[in-house]
Amino acid sequence: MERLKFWRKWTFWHWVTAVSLLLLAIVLLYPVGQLLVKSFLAKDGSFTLKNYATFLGKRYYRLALTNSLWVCTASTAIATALGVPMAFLLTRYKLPGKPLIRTLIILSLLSPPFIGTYSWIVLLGRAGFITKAMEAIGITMPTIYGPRGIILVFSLHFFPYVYLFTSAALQSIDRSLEEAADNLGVSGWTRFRTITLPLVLPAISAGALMAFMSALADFGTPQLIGEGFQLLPIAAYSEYMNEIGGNPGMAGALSTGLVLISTLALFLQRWVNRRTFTMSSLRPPIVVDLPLGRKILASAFCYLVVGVAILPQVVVMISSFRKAKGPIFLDEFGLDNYMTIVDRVPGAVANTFRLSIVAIVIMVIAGLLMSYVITRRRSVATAVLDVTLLIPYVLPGTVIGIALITAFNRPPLVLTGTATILIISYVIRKISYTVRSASSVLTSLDPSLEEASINLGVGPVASFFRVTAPLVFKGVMAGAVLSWVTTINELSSTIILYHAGTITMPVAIYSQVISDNFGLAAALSTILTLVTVISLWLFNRLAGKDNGLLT
Amino acid sequence: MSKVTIEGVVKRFEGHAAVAGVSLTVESGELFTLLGPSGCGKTTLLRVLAGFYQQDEGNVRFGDQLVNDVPAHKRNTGMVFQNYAVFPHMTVFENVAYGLKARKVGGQELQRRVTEALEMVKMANLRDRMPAQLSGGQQQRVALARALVIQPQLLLMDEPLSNLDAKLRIEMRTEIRRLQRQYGITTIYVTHDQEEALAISDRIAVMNNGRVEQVGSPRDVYFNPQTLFVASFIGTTNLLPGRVQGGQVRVLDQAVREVAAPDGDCTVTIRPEKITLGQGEISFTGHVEEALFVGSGTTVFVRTPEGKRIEVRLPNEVEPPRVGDQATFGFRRSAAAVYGAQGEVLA
Repeated sequence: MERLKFWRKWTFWHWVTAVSLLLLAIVLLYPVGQLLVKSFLAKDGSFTLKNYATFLGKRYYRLALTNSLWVCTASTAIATALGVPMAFLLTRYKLPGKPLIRTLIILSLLSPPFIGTYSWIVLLGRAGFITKAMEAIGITMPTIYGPRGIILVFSLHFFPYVYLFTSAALQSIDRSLEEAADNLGVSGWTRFRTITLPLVLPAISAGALMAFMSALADFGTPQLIGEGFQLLPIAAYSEYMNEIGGNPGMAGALSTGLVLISTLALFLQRWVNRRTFTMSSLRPPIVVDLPLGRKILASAFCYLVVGVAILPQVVVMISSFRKAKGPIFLDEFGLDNYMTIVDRVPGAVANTFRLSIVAIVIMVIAGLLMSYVITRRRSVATAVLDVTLLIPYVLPGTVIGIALITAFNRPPLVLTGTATILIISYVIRKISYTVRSASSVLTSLDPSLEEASINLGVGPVASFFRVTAPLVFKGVMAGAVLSWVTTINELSSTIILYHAGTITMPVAIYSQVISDNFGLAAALSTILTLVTVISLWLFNRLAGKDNGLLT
Repeated sequence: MSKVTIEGVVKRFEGHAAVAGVSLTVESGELFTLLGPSGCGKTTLLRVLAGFYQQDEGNVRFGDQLVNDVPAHKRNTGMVFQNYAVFPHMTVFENVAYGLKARKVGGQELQRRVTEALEMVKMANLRDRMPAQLSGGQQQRVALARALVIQPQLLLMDEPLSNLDAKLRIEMRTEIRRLQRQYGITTIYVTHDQEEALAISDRIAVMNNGRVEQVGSPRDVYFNPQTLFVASFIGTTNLLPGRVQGGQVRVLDQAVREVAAPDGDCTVTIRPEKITLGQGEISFTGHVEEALFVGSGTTVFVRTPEGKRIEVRLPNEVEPPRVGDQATFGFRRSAAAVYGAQGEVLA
């Protein structure tokens, strides 16, 4: 009798929750868990702390740790120093060409960092345009290789996170708060320090956290421009690559180190913002005009930052139309670079689309269903689901790559070299964008709409598909575009999981740059950037005028 | 159209009983109101009837049918939600046709019935509009037509007027009453607004803390409140501390009446409009602290020498005392009600 009752109450949404949890356990918790376990195992299978002792004891690995920490901290500090003033200037003052500046900021964020890295090499590398030009007039440029180049790329690439979070917060401060300060006799710098800054500090730290975690996880940049400069993702990657017959535990230990740092950064940020408050702005602050002199200074600052940030993209696009010989671009223009794509990396373009489209379809459907159970069918199980979906947030792509391949390279489930393993990696890494945007739309959608449909005689599942799904679809798609853009540009886990038949554009670009084939790399990068731009334009159409990223 | 029987219904949320054992019978064709402050369990009870919540204990019957295990979409109730819940991606016509399509009504009959329902709520000329183009009152009419068109055996209304402005609220409640009479449909109406409940209902159940305090006609609950809670929730009333001594109730040092109750503290209530200027059967003198002219009369606040503040409602025909003056007021013994320490009425 009791059992009968249980099964009658077991609805479609229970199935969604159960299946989601089961799949996540197989493709996320198990791979990551076994990688962690392996890091504590010796070759004969007994428990050991040797891997961690090596990690902290050997100079080679310890350097990877300390380098990662200082390079990412420095990059985050510079990114914050660029992002906060930009946000303040662009939200509070009338500056010429604001929509253009904002668009360029987003574009510089969403193109993959390794393309930026590569074009800095094209500009400032040994055979770079600027290096050559300077040499011609007798000036030797300082080297771009090593930590200096990595910090340059990270700061310019990740400051948009700080900018986006901070400007959103600045716009949500109600005018009356600053007016109240004025009214109490506090203005200017004191007002900024005592009212405005504390109110946007949570947002600044959230942006800085994003910048730090992205820098920490980035694999392409240090690999291309670091020239042997040791960082954790690189160390984990090479450990895994050398390890084929060797020591799987060391890659696990390094991965655990990466995850621990991300997690600590996350908790540090939460701790800094332990006093929470919410703001809802009825009247956003006034946008004021600056006196001419200051206006010119402010505009110059903004244009300089976005100009330098977007420069790599422009350089890549232009050079893709120049004939190239190895790493040297010639002065002749033509479509030769594009022609060679078919010969040299057949399938890369098609693979990128094929894999990403399958991944995005899964993300949209699964993301919508999961966000529904998380927001509307709250229970212990859906809370577990919610927390599980946060895990990929602290997992760098390299770690997910290593975890998946070490988990699924032997029976019962052999996925090594398949398209499936890449799709799994994309879905678990990027689904959170879709889930988060779907959840926020669902939260703002009144549950009584669906109840009205049920009340009128349409079953609960049919009501979801006929009323709720159409109403949240636009919002879900807006989040899906972000999942899509980051998926087509994914390098750090693909580089570990790909196979000859599943090579993607980012991997092709990376390997062409490594083998000094700059022309082909430029052509592929241009295609990738164009797809990104078109996708963002689509996102803007979907998100509507008020919520668009590009204004 | 059917009678609704609620037997000992309990609904708990995380151990807290939102509905703590309610039994009610709603007669066929009746407009029955669940009235109470927010958190009293009235909406929870309504949602149990709609099938959105499964009760932990007790039974619900529509007519003779036990509906405990009938899922929400098969209960054939028409619900009108507080925020209308008009589907924003469908036109007015599509909204009203939605429930009929789910019942496989199509073609000519669908057209006819939707048109009829829209005419009923005076929305026929706006049938192709999208909800975003409608005012709150118009959306409310669409929601009403959508609920009525499926010919539900029970109409459920959850604070349907609370999002409308004051003037429209009065217009719509008259409209709802007219339609309910016309269709003769059994209706359960939830509100926290006692004036609305008094105006619209055949009978009212006053709820507090998940229980029903009193069931009766609007006049009954207004004039004969059976508990102190009902007396203070419906309308305005003064609560005066009193004492029972040897079967004699005393308030303001004067004897009110005899009751069959043991000695102890009690509360005597008297409505402001029952107090007049000058001596009465029970009289008190006090300091006039405030006199507020409110159009239909004047509300006077009087402070007695014992420090008790009493509200008096004087009609326009009477010249109100001036603020700061001492004045004497009185009321009839029969106008006062007496409640014991547990809030029960003492007779």
